[in-house]
Amino acid sequence: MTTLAQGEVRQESALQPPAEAGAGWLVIAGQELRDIWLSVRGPAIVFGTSLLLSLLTYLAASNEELNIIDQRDTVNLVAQITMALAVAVILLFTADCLSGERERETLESLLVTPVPRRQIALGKYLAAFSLWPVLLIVAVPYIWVLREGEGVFADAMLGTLVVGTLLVTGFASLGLLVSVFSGSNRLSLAVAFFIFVLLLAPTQLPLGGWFGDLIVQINPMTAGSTFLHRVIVKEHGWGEDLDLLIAPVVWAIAVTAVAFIAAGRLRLQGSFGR
Amino acid sequence: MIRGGLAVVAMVASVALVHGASGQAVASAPIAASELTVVVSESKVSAITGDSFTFTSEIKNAGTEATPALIANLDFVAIDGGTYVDPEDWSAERTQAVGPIAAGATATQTWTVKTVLEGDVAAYVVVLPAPPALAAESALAVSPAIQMHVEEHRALNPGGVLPTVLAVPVVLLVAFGGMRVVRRFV
Amino acid sequence: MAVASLTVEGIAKAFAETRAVRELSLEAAPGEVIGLLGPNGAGKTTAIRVLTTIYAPDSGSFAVDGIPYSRPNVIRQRIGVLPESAGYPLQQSGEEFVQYFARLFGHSRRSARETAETLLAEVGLAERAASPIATYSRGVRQRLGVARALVNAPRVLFLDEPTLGLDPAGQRQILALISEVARERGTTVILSTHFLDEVEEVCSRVIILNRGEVIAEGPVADIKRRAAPRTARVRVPEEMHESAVSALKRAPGIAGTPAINGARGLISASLDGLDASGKAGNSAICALLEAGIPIVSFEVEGGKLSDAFLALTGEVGE
Repeated sequence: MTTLAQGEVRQESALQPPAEAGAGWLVIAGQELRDIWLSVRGPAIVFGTSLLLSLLTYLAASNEELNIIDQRDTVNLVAQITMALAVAVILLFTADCLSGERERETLESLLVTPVPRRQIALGKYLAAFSLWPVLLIVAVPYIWVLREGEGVFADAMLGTLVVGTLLVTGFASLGLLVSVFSGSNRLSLAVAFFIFVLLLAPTQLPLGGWFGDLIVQINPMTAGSTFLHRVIVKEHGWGEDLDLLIAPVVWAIAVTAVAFIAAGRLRLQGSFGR
Repeated sequence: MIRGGLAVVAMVASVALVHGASGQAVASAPIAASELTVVVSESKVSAITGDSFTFTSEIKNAGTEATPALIANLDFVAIDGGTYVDPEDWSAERTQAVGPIAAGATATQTWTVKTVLEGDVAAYVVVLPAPPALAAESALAVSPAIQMHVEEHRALNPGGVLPTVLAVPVVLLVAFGGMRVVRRFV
Repeated sequence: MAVASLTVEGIAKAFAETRAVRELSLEAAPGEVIGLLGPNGAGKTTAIRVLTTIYAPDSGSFAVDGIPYSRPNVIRQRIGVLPESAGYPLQQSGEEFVQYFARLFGHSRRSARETAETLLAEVGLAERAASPIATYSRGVRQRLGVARALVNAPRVLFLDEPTLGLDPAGQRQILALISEVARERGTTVILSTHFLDEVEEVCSRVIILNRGEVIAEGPVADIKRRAAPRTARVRVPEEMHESAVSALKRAPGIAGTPAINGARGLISASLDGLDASGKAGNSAICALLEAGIPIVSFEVEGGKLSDAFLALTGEVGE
């Protein structure tokens, strides 16, 4: 016991083993938030978004002044672009969060800490999600300046908040899910973005007939986009098209559940694409 | 001659049918070319993009019988060969219903046009009977064209958005830049 | 008697058709430094990853400080690990990095700060602590990694190739640190390496792996003696070869029959593997002198860990 006893006596209080690890997800989220917001990444994304929205708003206002586009349509355009941009960016962040650690060879150090795998995933997820409220806030002045009446502004902001939060939740979880299993960061980003484009594409197509209606209902992007359009442009009441929110809600809940169940199986090597 | 006789019979028959219902004599025969004339209050307009102006059209019934109900329609055509004209962009209300015009009477319509694109565009009013059956056989009455010459005007601050679209990125840049500076020195 | 800080019983791990680790067993006391030796692909890293709960063992069991492997989160609280290919977040400073991991192990903010300060000073990085990791050399990063592995005052410290890529001075620094950690803190150290000099310098025991199998285990000196007995090489005048062989055969401490390497006129004689004092060499010289045989040259070779390693694995260690 001699060496051990001596070692214990010599240890200063700061070098005592710590108590059981507490909320590891909070520590991880805190560090990731610092990495996003105190580095260039987060600010660059927000600044880039503001430039895009500025350009869009100016062009839309010019067209509105020329009566080519209706005022509610301009507000809807800004809201939809904000939402789509936020979904894309946050998806890419979460798709990188674990496969990126794998590729940078920093994952093993994280896995030998006492923080449960799901908490590791949760901390990173929450940090990426922080981009959504910031981007939403950035959109506020643009929607405000385009509105012609308080009703449009309130509908647009609330609609974007509700639909955007559902879509961001689901797509952020999708990125996380892909990242858990992907052995390569490039593959993770590619798969996640491909799925996003696949779901986004129908929003740009004229969908008619029974098949088009089906796509609108079951695709969370088209359903959410259509709901927002009807609330802002068609001035539908919130209760009129609640069926369109089913797909985004199911998407948000289902993908998030699967992602966090899968995160419990986080391994050093990915399951595909090394 | 036979055609004229048939036209008269048709006119008499339709007058007999309609007279009791409307309480006035309404023509229910196709309109002949000489019966209606349409004039407009403008002939040449010079404008810049984004301007709007109003003009009136007058439909005069030079015939001897009242006209059936009419439709007046405002149309646009590019006369410089290059400008794309989408009528919906140039006027929100392009069709107006005009009631029957008594013989010798005039009906006036007011139109609003917004000059949305630069170029040379002509606007004109077309009048035709409302009942489809009559419209098919009637001569259209068309007004002279209003020649619009539109020049481009760049509104620097469309809808008052310019301060916002400039301020938001600048504020963000200053905020984030300031944060980095503070971090460096703290 | 100290409770074993690490007990391993027959763990095995396979990937597809490859059995990376077969039946590894060991017991380590507090303060011991155990070398895990083997050529590339021997299974050292896999063994460490099983013991650090990265991989689940296919069979067998292990315990850290009496905590069974079925409680990996609790085990992780008690171990420190420096992986072989440890990456670092380049934008963070050294102190931010160590503080972060201290917090992941449950330290409060204040405690994490103090711990990081203390550890970075211990590994000689106090002056570089505030600099971004991107500016650190490989050797400095390895020291940073050791500091990070110590944030939770671990009972068992696993170091996988900690001196890889370092210059000799850097290697010496890390090895000195390892010795100090084991000695001062009573931490058990499992040192995986293919640098044989390191093992001889700091390890009390060594386990040699080859193709996933333990082929030798025990104190370093025992391994050297068993696997690579020392040999005396004597050069005498050619006409006296037979006399020299007879004299050596009679000398105490000479094992077997001395052999003549005719090509160069050298006589090789195996020295007694159990002779730790070196007297066998002396008695061989005395036997030759007493027989009146002039000695042109006399060398003792072997008894090195590298020879043992080569003999056991058939591969060249560094």
